[in-house]
Amino acid sequence: MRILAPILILLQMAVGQTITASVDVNQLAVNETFTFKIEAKDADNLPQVNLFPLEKDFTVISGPAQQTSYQFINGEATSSKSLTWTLVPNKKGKLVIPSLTVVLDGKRLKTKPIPMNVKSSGSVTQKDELFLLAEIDKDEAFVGEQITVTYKLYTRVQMSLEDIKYPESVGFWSEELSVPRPPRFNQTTISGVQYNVATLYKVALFPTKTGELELTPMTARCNVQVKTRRRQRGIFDDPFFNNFFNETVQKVLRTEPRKIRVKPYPVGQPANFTGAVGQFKLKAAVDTDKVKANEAVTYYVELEGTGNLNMFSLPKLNFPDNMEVFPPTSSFEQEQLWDQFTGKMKWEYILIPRQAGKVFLPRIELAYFDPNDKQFHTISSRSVELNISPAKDNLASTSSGFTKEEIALLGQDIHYNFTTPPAWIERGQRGIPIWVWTSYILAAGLFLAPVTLSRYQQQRITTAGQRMSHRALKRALQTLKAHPNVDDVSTAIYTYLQERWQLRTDNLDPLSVESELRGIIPPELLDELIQLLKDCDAERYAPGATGSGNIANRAMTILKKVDGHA
Amino acid sequence: MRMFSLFLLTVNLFAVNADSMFVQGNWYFEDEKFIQAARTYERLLGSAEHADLYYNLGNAYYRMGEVGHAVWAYEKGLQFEPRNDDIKHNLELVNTRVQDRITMPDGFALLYWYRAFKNSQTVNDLLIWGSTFLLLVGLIYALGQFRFLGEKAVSRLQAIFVILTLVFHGICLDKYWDVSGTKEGVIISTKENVYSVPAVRDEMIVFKVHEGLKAEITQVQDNWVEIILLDGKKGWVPVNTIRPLS
Repeated sequence: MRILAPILILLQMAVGQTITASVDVNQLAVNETFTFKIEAKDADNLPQVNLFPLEKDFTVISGPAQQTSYQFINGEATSSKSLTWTLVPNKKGKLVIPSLTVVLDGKRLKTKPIPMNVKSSGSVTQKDELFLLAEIDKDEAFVGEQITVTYKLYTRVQMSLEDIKYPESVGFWSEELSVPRPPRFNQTTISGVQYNVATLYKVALFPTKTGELELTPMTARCNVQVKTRRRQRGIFDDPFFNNFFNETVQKVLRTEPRKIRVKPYPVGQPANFTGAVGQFKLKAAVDTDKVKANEAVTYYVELEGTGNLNMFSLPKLNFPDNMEVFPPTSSFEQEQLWDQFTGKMKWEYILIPRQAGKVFLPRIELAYFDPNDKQFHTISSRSVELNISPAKDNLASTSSGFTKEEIALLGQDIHYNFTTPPAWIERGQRGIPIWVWTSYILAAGLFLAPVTLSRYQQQRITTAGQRMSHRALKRALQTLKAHPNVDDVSTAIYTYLQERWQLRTDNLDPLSVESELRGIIPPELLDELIQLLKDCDAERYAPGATGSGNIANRAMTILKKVDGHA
Repeated sequence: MRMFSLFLLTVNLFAVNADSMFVQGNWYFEDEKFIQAARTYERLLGSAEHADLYYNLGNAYYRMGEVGHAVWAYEKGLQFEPRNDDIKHNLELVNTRVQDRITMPDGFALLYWYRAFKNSQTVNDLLIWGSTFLLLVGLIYALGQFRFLGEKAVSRLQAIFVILTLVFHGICLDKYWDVSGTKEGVIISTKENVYSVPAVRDEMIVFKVHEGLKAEITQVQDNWVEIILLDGKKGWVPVNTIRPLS
């Protein structure tokens, strides 16, 4: 930092301590810089200053720069520590550098105020020599319509750019447009005077709200060389060398504040309008026609045109249910050489169809406002048809939390209603079905059946025996009548006895008959019967021993007697 | 005699009424007036029940987008006809819309099969099985007694059918305990906070459930029910957010 040693306005020292505030000039133009210095004598530390009160009327361009110096005067050493700033006034008129609070070695000290006389810029250096201009292509626009602002530097003097403070405008979406870097100077003539012109900055502004919007000014700081006749130097020569030959003055350039009126849209805004303003073209395509189920397809959506491309969104796309959709990646390519903000937005959707078949990807519609004809337009892409062939293997892993069975369900609808009234079950009347009761009862019946049946059968068997025994006599008598010979008589008697008393043994003889029937028929009758049987046997082995006709008749009378005792 | 005819008349009237309401509901459904259809079916549910009715009700709720009520209706329908393929299909379909997804660990195969079988039968189905086997035991016993069957065949068949009878009655008892012992419900509010205590307190939110989720109801207290999810998570929800399945 270069310190000039001219008109030093020394302010009196602070009470007890030695602190001074000083400026290098107090008469200056509004675009000129000056140096402000706070110096502390015999201090151990650097002073600490709060510059806040000063910033209302002045802007700090650079600083603080620190400096420490020692002096020996008459063998006595004095030291001084100083802070130096470069400032520029914000406006013209009689300004005051206010009293500042300085903290020095733990003490609070105050500087004296310094009056400054700031004139309008023309009075000190001609304005025409060097100025900054903001060119606006229109001062009335719709919301979202592009306003191009070009910041140009006009100069007739040797200068170098030190620093540019770019504007940050409130109420606009801004997109920087390309300008040559470093700035290229061209020759131009304004009302007969020749200037070098360079475009410093170009920006496309898109208003985001209606009403009066203000462009904040751009500030540029530059070093201006006071013209000398001896030397002509290039613009971007090293300022260090310039110092030896030219005097350099630091200047701050500012554009005039501009106002822009932002109009609302005319009536007739479509429902699906998302804020697109300009002229656009829309395209959609897939990367391949042959698609297999479970294989990824890329679906491109391209929006090309001029307008507020980054400020609106595409309407939401409704993809068919049976495909998986990953969130899109988007990219933007800006046409570099156009003043109108132009480019191509591209969205890439990865789709994975889960089912074979024909699928239509939906048309995309975009409504936009064209500020040229002041009307709304709607563009749309064609719908894309996909023919999905079945997957090679169905073993593809399923995702999205569905199991394979559920994936198969995705495209389906519910089965339709039952339409005929069913057999109603009255509320709370859910009984046990009849079949259950029936089979329990039947089973119980079946368990009981054998017992009852066997009893019945037993009874039947006994009654059958009785009936047989009842008939026994009749049959025996018939046999005896028909076959009165001895063999048949004994057989008939034995058969009768068997049937009548149900004797178990087949081979009966007089002895066994006696033992079986004892107690059943009276003994004298039994003796008679036994005698008959013995006679029969005797007659069989020695015929004529008793008389055959006699035997059959005897048997008949005896059997009749015997039968009555059953 | 007059009493008897009056009784007949009421029975008939009930059936006729139910039929006409059912048909009315179906008309609404066909006209895509699903809200009216669901209302009609619900009114009919007050007096009569049938799997078909629950199924149609579920369809109406499905079309209305009421996932929770649809799941409830289908589940009710399955209680009556657990092997009805239409109901099963629609329940599966609506379950894909349920946000909460809890899958039971598979367990070992035998238990899995047993559960699957048990779920595919109603108590009455199992009773029919059991009683039929009992009838067969009786039949074989009787046939053996009358010597239509050899002793060996009888003892073998008898052993098989006695075991089957006992097994099916056992399963039936198990199922009956399942049905009468546990109470289940379906969440019907779109999204519900589950609290660790029966009170609305933000710091007590344990987890969140969404409509259509089936949960077991373990306790009821004033206007709150305690639910337990398949995976063992437990908490309280307001009573009007869950529709019981019993």
